[in-house]
Amino acid sequence: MQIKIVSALFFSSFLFIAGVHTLKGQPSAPALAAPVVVDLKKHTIGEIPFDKPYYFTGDLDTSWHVSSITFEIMKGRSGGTYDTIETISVGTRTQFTVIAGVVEKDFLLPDRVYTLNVTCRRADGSLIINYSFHWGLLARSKIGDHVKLDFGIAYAPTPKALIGYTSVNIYFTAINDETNLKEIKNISRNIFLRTSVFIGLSPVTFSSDTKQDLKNKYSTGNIVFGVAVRSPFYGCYTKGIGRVGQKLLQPMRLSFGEMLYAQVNANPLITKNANKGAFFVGLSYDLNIASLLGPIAKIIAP
Amino acid sequence: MTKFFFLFLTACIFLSICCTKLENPDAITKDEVLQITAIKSTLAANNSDTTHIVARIPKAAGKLDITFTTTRGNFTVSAAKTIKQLTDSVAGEYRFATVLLRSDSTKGDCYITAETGTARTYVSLTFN
Repeated sequence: MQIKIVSALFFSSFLFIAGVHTLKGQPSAPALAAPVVVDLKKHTIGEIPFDKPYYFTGDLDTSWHVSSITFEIMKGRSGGTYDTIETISVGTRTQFTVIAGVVEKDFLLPDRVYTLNVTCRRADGSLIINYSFHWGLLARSKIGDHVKLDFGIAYAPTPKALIGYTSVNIYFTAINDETNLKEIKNISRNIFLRTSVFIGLSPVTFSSDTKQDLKNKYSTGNIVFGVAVRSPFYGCYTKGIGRVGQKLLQPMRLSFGEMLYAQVNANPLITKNANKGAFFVGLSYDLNIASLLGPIAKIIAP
Repeated sequence: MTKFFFLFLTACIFLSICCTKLENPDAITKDEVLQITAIKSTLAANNSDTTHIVARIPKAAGKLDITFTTTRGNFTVSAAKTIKQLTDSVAGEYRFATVLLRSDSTKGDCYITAETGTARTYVSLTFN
């Protein structure tokens, strides 16, 4: 019995790592693609993710006798030209799956308007439905997608200090945590997705080597700020790093910044600490509040 | 938007590489802590010649008491060899305390010491 449970756990973790859990039995959908449910009866569409693969899926009403479905997409609300995503033959199926964003060029960008057109036809070519989804296809970002919290350690060479810090990273584009940065090959998009400015607090100094002691500038710690590069060791330039590598390396950040701290004044008559600034290089990790609080939230509201 | 992003980024990188010098007690001279100066280097040993003795501390040290002690002569205000003066005048980055030293009739070297907190320094002048 125990062996069975362990085997089941092992197998389910393997599936999780492999990303099969999102596929829901759609063999042709790319790994880790997000399903977007299209309800043809109610004329509604689910949220479409940005910067990651996705596929459309939904149920078919057999009374409609649908023979084929065509999905087309256009940038903007009108005036553009539709690009056909895929036309699929339905046959006797009661569900459809249309693979959309498979490669980077097909990923949707955040906060851009796209229009999706869905056409269902019978075997004789007659039209059953021809819907356009404007509003639902806007890959909206939230403020939280621009702001990421992290924590890490850093080394400041001038005071030879090893510090711990936590900071708020501000991005100039929305960040989808589920984006696999390895799939983003566009250089300017990479710069936007990876570069952030941060401001934070260093409440702890693990060690330092100075003649005069370092002190916290404020009661809560020292101010840190600077520029951070997300996932410096993971991207299209890294080879042989799989899903586990992505999980470990993608939430990492290399930071270059300034720490504003205080130091005991070298003049024995001056009791007030001297204000100082030091350059530091740090390595930090995303502090994903949702994933940390997730299990607790489930206990409270299952 | 892109231009603003790169401008902001450059500003942050520029600010990040700013560093200030560390506090180093070895690099601080005695005079930077407590300096004492006699206006005249010689006084007539006639019980009446006087000179101002000025002690200087950094402004950031605040208003401290400075104790002056002399080996010869005395301070005019109390006819004592030791006197406490408050640093009361500020010029630039420093505070000053001043005393007036009167010579006595004995010829020879005179040492005036200033002391505050953990700092102590002296200046010498001659009665002749």
